[in-house]
Amino acid sequence: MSTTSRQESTHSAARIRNLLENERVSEARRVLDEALANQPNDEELQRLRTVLAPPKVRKSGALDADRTTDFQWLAENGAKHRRSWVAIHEGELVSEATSLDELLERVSLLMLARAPLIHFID
Amino acid sequence: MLRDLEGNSFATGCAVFADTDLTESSPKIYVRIHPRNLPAPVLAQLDTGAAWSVLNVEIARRIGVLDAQGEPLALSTRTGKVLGKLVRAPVSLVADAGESLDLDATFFVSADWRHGTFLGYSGLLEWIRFAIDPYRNLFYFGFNASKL
Repeated sequence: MSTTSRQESTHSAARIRNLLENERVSEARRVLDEALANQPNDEELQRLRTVLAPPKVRKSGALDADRTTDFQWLAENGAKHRRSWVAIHEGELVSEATSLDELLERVSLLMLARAPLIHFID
Repeated sequence: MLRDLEGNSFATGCAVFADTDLTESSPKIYVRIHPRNLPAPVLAQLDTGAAWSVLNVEIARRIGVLDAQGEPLALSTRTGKVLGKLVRAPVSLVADAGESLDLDATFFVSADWRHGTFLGYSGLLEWIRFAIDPYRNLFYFGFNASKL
């Protein structure tokens, strides 16, 4: 790539980043498309394309259990567990911790029939 | 499941959502997502007003995206500007009925974001179809294959 082309790509990338910082995502995509048309192999522009691209989506047959009672527990008791990670299973608090890693370690020892609902109560 | 005005499929999955809010004065909608590599689903706040989806730092670290290559960004949040990056993260929108959706979508992650997880508009909600039934607390979702 020539020095001029490199400078153009860098300038475009800086402009795109500025648009992203200002939450002007559609405009950032438009500028990126224009820049990629001129510099399709530029690594910096390719990295921007990765995060601005549509998600890869596929359907999955995996369904979750009914969490109504877990939501009820949160509504009734959540305020007493602020700044904590909680694991709720069949409407009951089964574990609580100050970190997610600690919570998951504790939950793994419980041998629950199905996965609990995990939530960080902010 | 839901259909659009032409009779085509609009939503292929639906899930009960929680609308209890513990930290703010008004209720918010929390839906379940299942980040890949996490053994259980977590709650994420649906926020159509947010530019980006955001993962809590501990979830991001646990699923291996906190140290992934990404695009640096300073995100405006309710706690001020937060420095982090945009990365692609694998999550599922979890359904109770119909079909769940597995997504490889763009999230903001930061070592400094120790608050909740959010589903925002750019990079995620803008690409799917969704509808809310507040009467029954149901979140319907699907996608338009021709758009992706």
